[in-house]
Amino acid sequence: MVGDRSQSFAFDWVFSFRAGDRILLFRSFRTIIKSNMKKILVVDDSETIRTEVGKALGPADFSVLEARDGVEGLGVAAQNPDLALIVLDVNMPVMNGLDMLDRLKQEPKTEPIPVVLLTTEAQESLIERAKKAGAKGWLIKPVKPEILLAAVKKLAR
Amino acid sequence: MFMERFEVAQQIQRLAALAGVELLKAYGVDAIPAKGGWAESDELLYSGSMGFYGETLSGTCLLAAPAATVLAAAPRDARLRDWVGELTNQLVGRLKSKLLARGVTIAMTTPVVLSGVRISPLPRGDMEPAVFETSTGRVLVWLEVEATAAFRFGSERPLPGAEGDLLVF
Repeated sequence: MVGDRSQSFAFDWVFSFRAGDRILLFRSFRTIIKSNMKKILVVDDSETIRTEVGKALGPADFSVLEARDGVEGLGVAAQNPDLALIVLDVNMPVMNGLDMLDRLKQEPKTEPIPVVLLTTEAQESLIERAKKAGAKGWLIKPVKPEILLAAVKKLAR
Repeated sequence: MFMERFEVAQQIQRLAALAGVELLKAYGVDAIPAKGGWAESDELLYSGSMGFYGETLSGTCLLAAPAATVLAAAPRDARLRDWVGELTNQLVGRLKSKLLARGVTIAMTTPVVLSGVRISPLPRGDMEPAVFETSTGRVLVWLEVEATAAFRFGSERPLPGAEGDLLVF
């Protein structure tokens, strides 16, 4: 933990992730958690999109955690099984969003976390795959902040 | 519907150009076809390039614009490199949706981004890239496409969702 001010905590952390016979180490982005706030994880390779999601949700008293791809996202989710929702991009390097969704749902600790996909994709087969894998919703970019906030409020546990 | 390959390329280039105009509009930038095509300039340009592939169609799509135009279409505090990559991703995503609506399925790669001055497209055929005028500079949407002999457009049909939609499962 690197800071603590007025009931909020800011920290950086390192986590490991097993990929086949290798163990990968990752350092997270700065994470700010305010007490009693629901935590939302946004996984998107675009820093701008992550920031925009944070701007849309922050004022509504959500704490927003970030990851750049599916592998980082799995690590953050494993460390934060109390996440209220994951906002997940589909087309990302390293591990795409649908593969991350499959992995989340295979792990008992992360299986209950609701997931909404946020993507430019509108392909029926991908939407159907996400639905079968256990996603709660599918948002098509670009999305207005108020629509995103309404979706998060509706789908977060 | 059977078409010659050049016609296919032309039609898909038109879809990509339309996707580019719609994308810029979605982020508050009006774009109209430019007179005189693309012209080299000393202005620093940002460009994103992204591949796509399917059973009967593959290609590469490139988006290029000056920094001022990229920023005009960006949320506040966006980083140029990041936003050009995201715009390119969304451009090809829109093209993918337009193709899907016509029965053509493609998958997308991830974008690469470069910047430079005096960048100029060198198309291999007769088909010129689409160039648009905006209030902050010119935008280039360039597509190179390979279609197999089996390529066909299907009848146009609606997709399950449009931009800004939330589908709840």
